[in-house]
Amino acid sequence: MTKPVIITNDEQRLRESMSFAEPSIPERISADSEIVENGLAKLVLSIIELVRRLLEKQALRRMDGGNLSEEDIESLGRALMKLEEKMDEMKRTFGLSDEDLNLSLGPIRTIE
Amino acid sequence: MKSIAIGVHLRREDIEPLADAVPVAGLYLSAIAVADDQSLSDRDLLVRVTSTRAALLDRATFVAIRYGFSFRAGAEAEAKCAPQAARWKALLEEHRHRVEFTLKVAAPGSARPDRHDFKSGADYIRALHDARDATSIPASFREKVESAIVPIAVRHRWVRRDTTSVELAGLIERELLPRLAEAGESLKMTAPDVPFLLSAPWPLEVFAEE
Repeated sequence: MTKPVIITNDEQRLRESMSFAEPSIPERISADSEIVENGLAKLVLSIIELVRRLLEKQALRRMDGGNLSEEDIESLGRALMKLEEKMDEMKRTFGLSDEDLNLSLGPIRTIE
Repeated sequence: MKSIAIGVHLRREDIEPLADAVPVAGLYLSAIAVADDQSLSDRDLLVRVTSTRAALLDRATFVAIRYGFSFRAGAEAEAKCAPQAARWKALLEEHRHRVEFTLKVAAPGSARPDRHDFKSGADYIRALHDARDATSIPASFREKVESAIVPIAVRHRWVRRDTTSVELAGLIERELLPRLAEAGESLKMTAPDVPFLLSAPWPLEVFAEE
């Protein structure tokens, strides 16, 4: 069998940079009634944000194809704006920030 | 039963008995049969498809089919593949002894446009598109890649899929995989500060896109 080539110089940083970081999904949801809602919201919103970013990526890929009409492009763009708006609303509702969802885009980014 | 497609191959003997060979427009689709109620997200199925994919690639290069295409009858698969068949056949003949490799490099990222600055959806998505395309990696790292890895490749293409990474996809002769590994090890020593992952071999995917 052909020997696979898998070479990385900093797997941990690469993983942190490109993947959905584990800290954004709590290992356990606290049973404390006052914080259980926030913990669940954090978990659910993190997953919704991941899906939103996948949709955005797919929309940009469709743009690359070059066969979308101006109407399609407008419609896709509006859908992405609306999705972001809804995410912001939900974050406000549950008092969560991008940092809570581990979405900050610092030098070592934490999502995608 | 339904079948999960894996790839499109030039010859039947490239597939059997590792997987089922389904004739499609002069080529052969590799597939594995699963129960109708089997979920495509089942872990065991994913592992089975991945290992079959690797075993098939070890035999001969094929055009990868994105995971998730399932069909019940050969005619259904034929209808889906026929429009691409002539192009795939030419690619498979040209690249039979070549495989793809990919070098994924973490990028510092570019500024994300703020949706509040836009009234038009089209303008917003174009700004997102531009931000993605502005993603770049350090010039010195790119130069090292261009001198160590690109010369081994028959073809190469820098690909931007998001704002967090830039990817070099390349086509390489199978026999040069050990040289690719050496180049990767050398890059590891000379560029420790830019996180990267070099992996190979892969079936035709980036170079099978239109």
